[in-house]
Amino acid sequence: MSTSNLGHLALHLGLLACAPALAMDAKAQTAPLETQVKAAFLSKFPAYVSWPPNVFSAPDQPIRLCVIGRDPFGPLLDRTVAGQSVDMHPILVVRLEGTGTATAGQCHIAFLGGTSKQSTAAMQQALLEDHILTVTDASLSPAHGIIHFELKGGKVRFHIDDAMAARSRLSINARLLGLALSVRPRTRTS
Amino acid sequence: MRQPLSSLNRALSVIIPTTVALLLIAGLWIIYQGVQNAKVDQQQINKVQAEILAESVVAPLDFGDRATAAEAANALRVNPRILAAGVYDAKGDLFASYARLGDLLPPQLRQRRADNQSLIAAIAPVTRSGTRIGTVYLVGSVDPISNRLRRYAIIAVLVVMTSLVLILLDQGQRAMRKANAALAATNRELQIQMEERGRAEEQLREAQRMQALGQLTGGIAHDFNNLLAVIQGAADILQRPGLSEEKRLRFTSAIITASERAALLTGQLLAFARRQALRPEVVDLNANILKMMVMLQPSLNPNIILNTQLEEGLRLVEVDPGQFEAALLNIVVNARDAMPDGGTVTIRTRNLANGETVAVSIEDDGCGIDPDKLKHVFEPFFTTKAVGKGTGLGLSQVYGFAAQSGGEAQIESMVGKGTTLTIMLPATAKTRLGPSQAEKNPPSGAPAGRVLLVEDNEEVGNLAEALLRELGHSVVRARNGAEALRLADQGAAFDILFTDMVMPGITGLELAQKLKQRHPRLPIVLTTGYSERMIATGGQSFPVLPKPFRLETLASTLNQALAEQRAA
Repeated sequence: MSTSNLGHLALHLGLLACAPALAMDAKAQTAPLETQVKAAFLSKFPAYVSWPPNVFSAPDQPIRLCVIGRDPFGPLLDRTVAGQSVDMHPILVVRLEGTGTATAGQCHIAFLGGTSKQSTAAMQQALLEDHILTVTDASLSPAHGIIHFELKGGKVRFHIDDAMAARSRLSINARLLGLALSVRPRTRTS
Repeated sequence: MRQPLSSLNRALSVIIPTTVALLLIAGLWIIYQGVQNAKVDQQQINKVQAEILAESVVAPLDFGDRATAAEAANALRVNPRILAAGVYDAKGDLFASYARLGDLLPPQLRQRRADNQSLIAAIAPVTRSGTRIGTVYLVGSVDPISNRLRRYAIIAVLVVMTSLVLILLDQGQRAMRKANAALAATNRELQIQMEERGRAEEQLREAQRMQALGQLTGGIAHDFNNLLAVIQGAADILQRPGLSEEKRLRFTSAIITASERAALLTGQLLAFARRQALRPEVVDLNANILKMMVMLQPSLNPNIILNTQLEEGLRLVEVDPGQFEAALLNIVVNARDAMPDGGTVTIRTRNLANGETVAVSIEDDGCGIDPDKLKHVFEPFFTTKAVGKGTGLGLSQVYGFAAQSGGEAQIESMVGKGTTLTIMLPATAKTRLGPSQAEKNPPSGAPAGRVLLVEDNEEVGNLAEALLRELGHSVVRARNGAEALRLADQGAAFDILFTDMVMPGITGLELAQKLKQRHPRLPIVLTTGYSERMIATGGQSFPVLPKPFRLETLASTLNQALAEQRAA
């Protein structure tokens, strides 16, 4: 997905925001622009995140992008990441029911959709120590992962909890931090 | 000293303009290089700025955040030389921008304009993980001319200042060279003038010498002509037959007197030339003055009264009486000339300084002598009289006589009051005797002898032979020294040698010495017209008879020599 598309999308998000219900319902076939943007964002986050060195055993080991619980993207996400790689790591979309199998090594990025059995917050709590960049969505749950999508002024924006990232021993690029609506800074000791 | 200086000047005159030219070229080169470097630097800076911007818009471009991308582009506003910065996406569409001027950024990257003189563009790719996601296009201005001028002004000022200093130095050098040349020219001019002046002075001295010589010759010729006229006239009359004895005696005595005066004149000349040896005698000046009075009075005009104030018991002095008489005559004649309207001349003698000195002063009440001329009166050839009237030797003779006699001459004068001339002579303890006594001996009754007469001049020889025969001597003649020696060797009989001193071949002195060796007791008398020879033989103990000599003097000198030989 190209940046120009993204810009184009973002331009129309305001219009989309006027009819969220419609957009939600029509997700299977023609995903709303908001979802497309989020999918694009998800595919781009790995470029701005550094994992601890022992996480990848080989230079071409795929980056696993897990969607845990509810999946708002469907095949859109697969199309978005298709052919994309960060350095030599291809991006691989993995869908999981819950956090049970999302151990370290299984997921590098996790979009926490939440389920009736396991709330987003619980998922977040479960993955806290596992070097996983957790992403949450305000439209699905108020619970915050390391990155938390939020629609602001008709545009998809995000908050970053750098303190939580530090706890997961992840390093988030300052460029990305610069785009965040807010950043919860890591403490000096963390 | 001048050579290396001028070569240094020449070297400087080349070095300074060359240095100025080199400096200007170097300055221009530095400025040109500066312009070039500034452009390259500006390109470099723009490139770096573009890269920085590209770096900072990776995430905004990636996440479609135009606001953040524009913010990043706007951050370049602080650099006044960046006119515009555009962030283009992967397709080349303008994504975010900052622009000072409106139309610098095209909506499509491919529409960007080419570089020109005033604009420097830079392009940097925006990449994320090796993937190009966009482009940054940056347009910068070349350093504004004012800035550049400001930067180069300091160089220009330095170059101009240095050039000015060098030019001033050069000007100074030129001025100095010019001044040096002028000085050298002036110096040459001065030297030429000095040389000309020296020549002029030399010419003046020569002219003065010629004038003095003219005066001298004129005076002497005049005096000699007078005397010669007397001698010639008298001789003419004497040649007439049937002349009475009284007339014959009168005219012969006239000839003798004239000859004496002529001898006196040559004596003065020689005294002036310091070539005449004095024949000092112990003299009572009072007696000599009284004796002179008879001669002096007639030489003065009738309206001049001649007085004497002679101190009794005046000490004796040792002087040449002839020279003293000449000096007295000279002074009195001068006094007479100073009193054309008549007056009184007083001759005074005194003992001075406890009798150590005898002073003879001649005082007149004539016109006096101008102070300017007074200091010159003793100088030879100095005369206030017309040409032919005086030789300028009179007072010079007085001075020379006094000095040669160990004394001095002084003159005091007041214009309109008169002049006093004083001769100071050292007194002597000797008593009167000697030659003056011999001179008084009559020629008759003297011992006659055989005389070997040596004289190269035929006429003088004839005269001397005649005089010697007149005195009763027999004479053997020789024309030169060699002949005399030959005669002596041949056993010619003679009692005395009377020889001229200056002769070609063997001189009279050498002859005398040779004969003295062979005949140690032979009396010898030398004669000469040159006084220097006489002075040179002073230590040789031969009596010398100066020419011209009188019959009486010849007789007394020969008689004395013969008498001494006989007495020994």
